[in-house]
Amino acid sequence: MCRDIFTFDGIMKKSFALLLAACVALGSAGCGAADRAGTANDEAPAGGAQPPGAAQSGTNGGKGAAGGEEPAKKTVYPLTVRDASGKEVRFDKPPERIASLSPSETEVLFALGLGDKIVGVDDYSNYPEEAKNKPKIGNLQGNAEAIIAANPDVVFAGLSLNKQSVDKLTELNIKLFTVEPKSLDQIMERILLYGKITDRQAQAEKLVADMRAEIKAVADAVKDVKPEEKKKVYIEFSPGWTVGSGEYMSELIDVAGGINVAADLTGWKRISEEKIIEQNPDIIFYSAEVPGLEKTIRDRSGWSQIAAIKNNRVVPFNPDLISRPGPRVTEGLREMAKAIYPDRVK
Amino acid sequence: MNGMRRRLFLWSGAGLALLVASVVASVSLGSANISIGQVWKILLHQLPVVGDGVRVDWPGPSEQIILKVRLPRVVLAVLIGAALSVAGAGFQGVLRNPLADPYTLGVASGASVGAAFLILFGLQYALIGSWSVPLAAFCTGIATLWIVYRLAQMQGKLKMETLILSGVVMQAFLGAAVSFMVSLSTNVVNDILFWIMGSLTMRGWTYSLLLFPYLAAGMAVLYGYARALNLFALGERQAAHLGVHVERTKLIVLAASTLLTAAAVSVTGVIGFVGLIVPHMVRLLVGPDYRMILPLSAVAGAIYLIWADTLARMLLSPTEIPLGVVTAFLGAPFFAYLLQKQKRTFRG
Repeated sequence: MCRDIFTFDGIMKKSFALLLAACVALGSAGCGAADRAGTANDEAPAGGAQPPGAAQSGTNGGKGAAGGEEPAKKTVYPLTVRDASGKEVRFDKPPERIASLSPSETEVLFALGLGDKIVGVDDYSNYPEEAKNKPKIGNLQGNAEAIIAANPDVVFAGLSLNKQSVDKLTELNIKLFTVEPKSLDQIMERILLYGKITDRQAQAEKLVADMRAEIKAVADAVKDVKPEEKKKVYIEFSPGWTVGSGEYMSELIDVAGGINVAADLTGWKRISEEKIIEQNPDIIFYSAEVPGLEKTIRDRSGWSQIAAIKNNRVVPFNPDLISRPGPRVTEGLREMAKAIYPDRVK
Repeated sequence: MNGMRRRLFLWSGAGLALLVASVVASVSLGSANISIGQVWKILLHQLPVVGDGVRVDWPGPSEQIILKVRLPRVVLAVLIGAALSVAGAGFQGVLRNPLADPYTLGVASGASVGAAFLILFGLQYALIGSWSVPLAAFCTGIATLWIVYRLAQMQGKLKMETLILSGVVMQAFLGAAVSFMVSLSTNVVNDILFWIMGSLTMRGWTYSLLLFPYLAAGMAVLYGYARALNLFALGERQAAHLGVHVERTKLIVLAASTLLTAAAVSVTGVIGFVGLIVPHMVRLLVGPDYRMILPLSAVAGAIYLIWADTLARMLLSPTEIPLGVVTAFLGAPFFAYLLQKQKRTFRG
C-alpha cells in the first residue's frame, strides 16, 4: 500500500484562488498556449510550497468551473513536465503503453479511460476489476526486468520507489514519472496532470470536479459542528501505527470534521499507548484488512475506559479507499465522515 | 558458609532496595504528563486498607495509564530481566564459557522464525489474538533447542563443544530464514525487525501473570543446581569425581535456561546483552560462587532491564527505541568499565 504524505492546505482557499487563476488564464488562452503549457515550473504537483496562483493544474485554458461547456481540451505536444523528484520529463506524443507501479496510480489511469493502454500494473492493484487481469510487473520495490519486458512508454509510480530501481530504469531509458501527493488538493492536481500528459483532460476535469463536489458535500454537512463538539479521532491503519499531521490521511480526518488525536506528531508514527489513553478519542478507526485487529485494540491493557471503546465506536475502514491517494479517496472521506457524524452526513 | 549467607543477604538487601527504587522511578516516568504526586496517590489507592484514605482527584485516563500500561510494563521488565540473567548465568556455568549467553543454542533465531512467519502473513492477531506470536515463537524456539540437542548428542553423551557448534549452525540457518522472510515482506519489514529487536510495548498484565509461575519455577530449578555449577568450574571429570551427575546436570540446567529464554523471547522479542553481561557484572562484584551469582543476577537483571526500558521509551518520547538496542548501548560500555577496574585491581 502506498504510504504517501500530504499537507492540509485549505481546500476552500485553494479552490477560490484556482477559480481566479482560471479567469486570468482564460483571458490569455488565445495567445501562446503551447508555450505556456510547455513551461516546467507550472507543473510541480508535489512541491508543497507552490503559491496557489501558480498551480494552474496545467490545463491549457485554465479550469472551467462547471466543465463541459468548452470543447475537449487537447494537449499540445511536445510537453515537458516536472515530476515529484524534480526531474523534467518530456512527452513527444500521448503515451500508448502505460505502466503503473502503485495501486493508486492504477486507479487514476483507469478512471481516465486509459484501461486499454495499460500494459502492466503492480502486484497490489486490484481496482477496477480489469486491473486484476493486467500483467503484473512488480511492486514498489521495482523488479526492473518485468517492467522492461512490458515495454512501456511511461511508468507512473509513487516517490517511495527504491533508488536502485529508479537508477536502473533511468539507465535503460524507461520513462519514469513519480508523484507524491501530500494533500487532497495535490491528489486532484495529480489527476489533472495525468489527464494532460495522456491527453485525457476532459475526463480528468470531470473526475476532479466530482471529487471536489464530494469533498464540498462532506465539508458542508459538518461545517456547523462547533469546535467543542468535534469528535476526537484515532486511526490505526496498521497494527501499532497511526498518522500525524502533514499527511493526506490526517487531512481526511480534518475535512470530515474530526480532530486527529495524533495531530501533534508528523508523518507515520508508532503509537504511544499512554498518549492515546490520555487523549481519550471518541472514535477509533482501524484497517479492516488485518485479521483480529479489532479485538486486539479492544483488549489492549488500559484501553477499556477510552470513550471510543466504552461507547462501542470502533469502526473498520476499507484500506483501499483510505490508504490510497487515488480517485476513491473522497469516497473514503464520506465513509469516515458518516462514521464520525452519522446524523449529519448521509 | 555463614559468611556466604551473610554476604548474600547484604547484597540481596541492597539489590532489592535498588530494585524497588527503580520500580518507583520507572512508573513515575512516561510520555503522558502525570505528576509524580498523582502517580503515588493512584498506586496507594490500590492498597487494601491505606488506599481508602486516598481521595480520588485524578482523571480516569491517568489511572488507566499507571495501572494498566506502566505498572505491567515495569513488572514485565523485572520478570524478563531476571529470567534472561539467570538463564545467562546457567549457560555460562554449564558451558564454562564466558561468552555464552542465553541465545548460544539458537533459541533467539528459532523464536524469531515463528514470529516473523506470523507477521509476514499478517496473522499476528489471528486465531488466538495477541497470544499468536508468543505461542508461535515459543514453539519454534523449543523446536530449535530440540534439534540442536539431537545434533549434539553422541552415544548418549553431550559434548559441550559440539553443542555450541550445533547452536551456531542453527543460529546461522535460522537467521537466514528470518532474513529471507524479511526480504519477502514489503509492508511489514518494520514490524518484523521491531519485534526482533525487542520491545515491552503494549504487553499488558496478561503475559506477566501467565509467565510468572514458569519463570519462578525455572529460576528455582536453576538455583537448586548452584552447587553443581560451582563444581563444574573445576572441569567435568573433576565434578564427576566430586559426586555431580554430570550429564543430568548439563541437561537440566540447559533445558531450564532455554525454557526461561524461550519464554522471555517469545513475549518480548530478542533482548540481547542482558544474559551475557549481567552475570559477569555480578561475578565481578561478588565472586564466582553460583549460590550468590544466580539470585543476584536475577535482581541485577531486573534493575538493568527496568532502566533500559525507561530509557527506551523516554529518550525520544513518544517514539520508542527498540529495547535490544538500548541494552546493547548501555551494557557494552559499562561492562568495559568494569573490566578495566578489574584489570587495575589485578595489576595491584
